[in-house]
Amino acid sequence: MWKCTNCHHVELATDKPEHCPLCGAEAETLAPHQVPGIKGTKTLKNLKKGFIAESQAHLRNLAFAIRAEQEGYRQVARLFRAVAEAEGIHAFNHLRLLGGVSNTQENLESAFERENLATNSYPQFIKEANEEDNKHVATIFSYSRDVERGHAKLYERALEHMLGDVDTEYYVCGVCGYVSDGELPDQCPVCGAPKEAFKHIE
Amino acid sequence: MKKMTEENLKTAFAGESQAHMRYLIFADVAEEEGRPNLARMFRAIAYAEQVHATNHYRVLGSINNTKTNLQTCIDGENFEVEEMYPAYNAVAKLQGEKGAEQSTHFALEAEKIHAAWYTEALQALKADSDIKIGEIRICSVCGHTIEGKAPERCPVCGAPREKFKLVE
Repeated sequence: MWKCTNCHHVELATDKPEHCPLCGAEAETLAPHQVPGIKGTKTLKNLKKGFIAESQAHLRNLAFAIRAEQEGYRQVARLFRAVAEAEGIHAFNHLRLLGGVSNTQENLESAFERENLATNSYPQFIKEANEEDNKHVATIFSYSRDVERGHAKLYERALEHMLGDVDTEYYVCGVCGYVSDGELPDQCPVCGAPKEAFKHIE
Repeated sequence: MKKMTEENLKTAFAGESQAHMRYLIFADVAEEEGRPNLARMFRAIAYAEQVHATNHYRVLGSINNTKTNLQTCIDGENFEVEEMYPAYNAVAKLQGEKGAEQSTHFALEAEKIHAAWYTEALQALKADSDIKIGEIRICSVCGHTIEGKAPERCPVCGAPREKFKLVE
């Protein structure tokens, strides 16, 4: 297992990769790494798979809860939300054991690199969706691409200031995920959704 | 939908789901470190990733009516209860990994309850009614899911009553 000294990414591979798969840094930035208290690679892989499955289940259930509300099943909606909460706790436990939760400085650095990686993956997805004539999918991918870029900037700024004394309000577009820091826009600059589609983050 | 686009959507859904979860966890860490503003930023971006994940999932055609959604959940929980977590738990035990043995055990126990509740909810729906269920509380340490008042101690992980969170 390897840890990147540039972006703190932990790579489960046994053989040293040629580049950091997250930030792309040269092989010399990758140092041998062991998660404290965990031996063996099977358990590590299982924890990783567990984290992915629980994260997906968490969001799937939240999406199903919205649908159940729309259909008038309020109790089922609450059940979906409850289970989503539980899956979130499981995901947290798995990620903590994987050594994926550090102090805030390292968390910000890793979040920043991950946003850049996401921004770089979407153009290919958009190209392939267009090639296969899935226009609506290409639009959804382009929302994500445009918005991740903004996230990386927010993380970069937070790294510079650690946001010590800056009391900022955040509004997030419920259609495309655009994050506005400071004020509620009249219209979303990415997808054009009206002000009512924005959620204020407590 | 064509195969390549479908695969990309699945990859994107997995990536965004993990990012969402990771940022919520990082928000808790920032909160513990006494950085409430930073915590709020992590939560804001976590919600944005949720929007992306939901969009991808919807375009995949995976959000159906509640009856079908419940069946999806039952199938998923059953896979975790019957195959995934028992296998993960056995490997962790074999390798002497106490932490992983515990975290997979916590998940396995909770998923059993989830599967049962989903099944009950589906039966209610088939009889054209909503499930009857009281207050739901979740243990924030292990994810144990209960109906009604919080017990003195969590029966799965032993956490005290204060660790239980009420779901609105």
